[in-house]
Amino acid sequence: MTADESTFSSVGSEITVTRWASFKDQVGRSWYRFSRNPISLAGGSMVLLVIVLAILAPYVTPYPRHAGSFTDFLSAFQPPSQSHWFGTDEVGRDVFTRVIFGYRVSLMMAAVVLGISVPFGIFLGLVAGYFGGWIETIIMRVTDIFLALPPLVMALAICSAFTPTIEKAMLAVAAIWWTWHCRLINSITRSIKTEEFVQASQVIGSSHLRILFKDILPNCASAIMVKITLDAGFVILVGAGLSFLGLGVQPPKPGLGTMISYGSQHLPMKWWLTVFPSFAIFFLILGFNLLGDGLRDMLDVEAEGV
Amino acid sequence: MVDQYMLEIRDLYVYFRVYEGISRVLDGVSLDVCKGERVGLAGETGCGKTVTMKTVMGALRIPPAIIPKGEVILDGQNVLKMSAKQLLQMKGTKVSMIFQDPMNALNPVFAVGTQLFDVIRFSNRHTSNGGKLSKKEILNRAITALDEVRLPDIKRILNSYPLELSGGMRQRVLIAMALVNGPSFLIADEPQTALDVTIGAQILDLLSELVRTKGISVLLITHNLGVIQETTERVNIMYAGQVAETAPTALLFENPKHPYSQGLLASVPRLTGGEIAEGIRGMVPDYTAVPSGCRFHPRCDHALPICSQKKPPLLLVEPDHLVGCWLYAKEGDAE
Amino acid sequence: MSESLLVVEGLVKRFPVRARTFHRQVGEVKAVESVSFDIKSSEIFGLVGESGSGKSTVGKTLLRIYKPTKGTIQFKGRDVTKLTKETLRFFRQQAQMVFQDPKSSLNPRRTIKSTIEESLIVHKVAKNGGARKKIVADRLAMVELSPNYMYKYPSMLSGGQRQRVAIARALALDPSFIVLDEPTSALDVSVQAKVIRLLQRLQAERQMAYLFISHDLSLMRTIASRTAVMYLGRIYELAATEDLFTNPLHPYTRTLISAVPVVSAEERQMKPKKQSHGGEIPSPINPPSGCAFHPRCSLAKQVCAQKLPDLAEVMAGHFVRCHIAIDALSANTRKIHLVDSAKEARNKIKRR
Repeated sequence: MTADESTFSSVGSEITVTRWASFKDQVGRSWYRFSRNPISLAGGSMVLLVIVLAILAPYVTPYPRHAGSFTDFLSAFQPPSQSHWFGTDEVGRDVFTRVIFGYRVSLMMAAVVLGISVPFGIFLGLVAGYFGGWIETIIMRVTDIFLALPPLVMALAICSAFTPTIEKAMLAVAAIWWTWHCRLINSITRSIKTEEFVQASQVIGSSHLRILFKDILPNCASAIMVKITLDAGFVILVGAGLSFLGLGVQPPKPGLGTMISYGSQHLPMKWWLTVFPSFAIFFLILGFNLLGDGLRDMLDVEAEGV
Repeated sequence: MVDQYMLEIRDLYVYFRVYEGISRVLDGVSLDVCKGERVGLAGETGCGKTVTMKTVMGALRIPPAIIPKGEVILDGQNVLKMSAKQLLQMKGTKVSMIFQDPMNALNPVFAVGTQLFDVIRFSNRHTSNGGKLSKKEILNRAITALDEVRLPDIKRILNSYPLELSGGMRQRVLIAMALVNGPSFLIADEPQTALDVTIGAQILDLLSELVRTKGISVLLITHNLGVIQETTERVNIMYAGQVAETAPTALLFENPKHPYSQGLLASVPRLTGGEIAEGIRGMVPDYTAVPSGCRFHPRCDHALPICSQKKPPLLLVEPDHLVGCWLYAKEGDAE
Repeated sequence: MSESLLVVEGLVKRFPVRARTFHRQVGEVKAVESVSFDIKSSEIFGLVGESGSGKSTVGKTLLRIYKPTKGTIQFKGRDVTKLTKETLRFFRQQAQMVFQDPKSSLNPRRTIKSTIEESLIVHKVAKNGGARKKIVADRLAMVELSPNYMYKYPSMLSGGQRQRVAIARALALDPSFIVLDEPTSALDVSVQAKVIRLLQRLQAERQMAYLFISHDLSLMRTIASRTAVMYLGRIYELAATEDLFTNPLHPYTRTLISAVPVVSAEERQMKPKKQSHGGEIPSPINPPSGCAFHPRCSLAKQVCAQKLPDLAEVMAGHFVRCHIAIDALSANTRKIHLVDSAKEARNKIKRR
């Protein structure tokens, strides 16, 4: 609320509020809402920290060469110390270095799976929710069928039928993952469809495609962002699960799940081999979840008010 | 005579912390409700009606709210100094509320009867002779309460869920709930707004009659001046967190003194037809950057230099008619 | 009287009520049941009623947001119910709508400019951005908003400003007909006054016709030149607004007017006596037989429950659908007829 309701007089007057200023104000408000919640701030920092570490992995890790098939049997199974924070594994590689490189794989997996499945799911959900009728019935029943398959089981089936690689695992998970987004967007579209601004666009004569992409999709954006953030954690968990079962990341590539799997053979004496990678997964997923909750608060446009 | 007041709000300030800084919502609000009196609190959206009501009910969340100054005395007790337990006690025995939207005020997953029994048990726990009530006693009280609000077929209503009732019936149930503990003070927040014209009229008639026969003091909060005119004895017009004018309803509506009240009344479309006025220029101020002095002065056509400097006190312009406007000041009032 | 811009005949709109499983139809909401009226060009026609009366459905069906179940809608001589692509384009440019709640009628993720220019893009009126920007600024000026609002989002605006933007959107293509669906019911009185004045000014300047839908009778009195009263999907009374308020004929109209909370003594005096013994508004899924108001009407006779009265023109331009009112008035007219024939007879005798 800035200007007066009706004191406007001259028609050709200057536009002093530009698109950029308006955008900055929006961002400022969103950040204020986000930053007021310490938990979401913590979640955001955790995720950001992991992403930065993963990107800069070759520069920030003490022994970048340990990420591959490096061996140094002399320093195998060392407990955590000054030079090896998370200890070393059975061939003497630095666990800390491998965890950071493991993050790379996990994050990549999340990005690829969500990058494929989310747009697909959103598109089907939009179409089903907007047109309704038999189109919706067909799309949603197919979705239901896919939903009945747990992603891990699907991935197991595909990976055990062929040679297990991380790429196949990702495709398998993506083939299931779109259903959740389809369902979510379908239900949001159904409720937005009845909003009066959609009817207003109909009265104007906008085409269905315009209404779908200019009116409905932008209003799903916040829900999609929250869902993606929360999903990223789950995809990483599924990926780690696959690796644990030996179907995802193949050694010597560092995968968090693979590391836990190998480390578990040396429990309880060489505890650091399992505890640190497990904690790394826990840390990242917790970060994504806290961030997701924070985003939800931030993106609720009308949530505030005296 | 202190006792004659049911509710006394004295110089109440309420602020909120928001993104832009501090939102100064209530700016020295004073109003009172005498025992057995029906008082209206009228004003437009964002004038501080709801904040005032929440403060009285002890329902403000602190923080973000801040109460730097002021007193709210309800039947001799300061609400702002009450403990949570005392507040509950007060709600159980003395004060009741009726809300705008009867659907939101009822829980959709419990039968009406269950909710009404809960209210009866709750209020009984807080009365002085609070022994346990027998099931039969509770049922009897519930039936009496629903009978009072003229609901037909009470047995069926007790067993039905809020969604099965029409808006008018739900509001009747809420009135029954509000009155079942025999309160001496009732706050009604836009009780007819969510209802249709003819149904709203029925509800207001019923409510007026009940509070009159039971001698309950009422604070009716609404933006609908017609409703104020038809149900209250005295009215406070509020603007941007300040009380602009207070007087007996008929007097104020016939002869509004404050420029804001005048503009507001002129904006109301009349059943007798005729053009409506241009409204009031400008809009309600942003509470984080409120105008100094009288908060109405930037919109006022009669503003004097002093209006932007000093907040006007409530001045007596005729018996029982107080106006917060410098136009009616006599010499020496400014000090 | 000028020619009719819009002629509605026998409009029916029913919404199917479907069961959750298998979409089986289990009933019908009879939202609009055989409604007929006409709107003259540059006239403000009022449609008043309570919830469930179907007044909004009439407005939305006219603009083809809903497909009519039955009936015809003629706009400038063309039948809008059987639209070809070309007529549809023409109609979308000529007829617009302003919705009740500006909070939900403006897309929260679009800037004001994007909202207003949508129809310019869709109908390819202004192709380049500069021309569009100029038109948007012009429409904002029409609704007394500064061009500074262009890049703001609806959440930054007050209710009154939002409704002005919604009006600007409707004006974008210079329409000749606007459906106003309770355009001020979400606003405060002082803001409502300004928006109503704005609407009145725009209507006078641009010679548009309005269908003004509202539940607020006082407001209807102020703005409409003719008013129809709807109850459960049917028009029960239709007359020049002045006539309707000074001489309401239907018991429902009287009850409705008597229920309006008013502020002045004059208004209280003009209120008719209510002719209802209370009761709730029935559901449009299962409306009462005969005259839908009979269960709440204090004058109801047996015939009212059995037979739906016709909408009869009992005085010039004053239509009412009520057995009792029609009987009373036609008895009067019969008396007049009798007097006239007696006079005639006398004259005949004289002439002889």
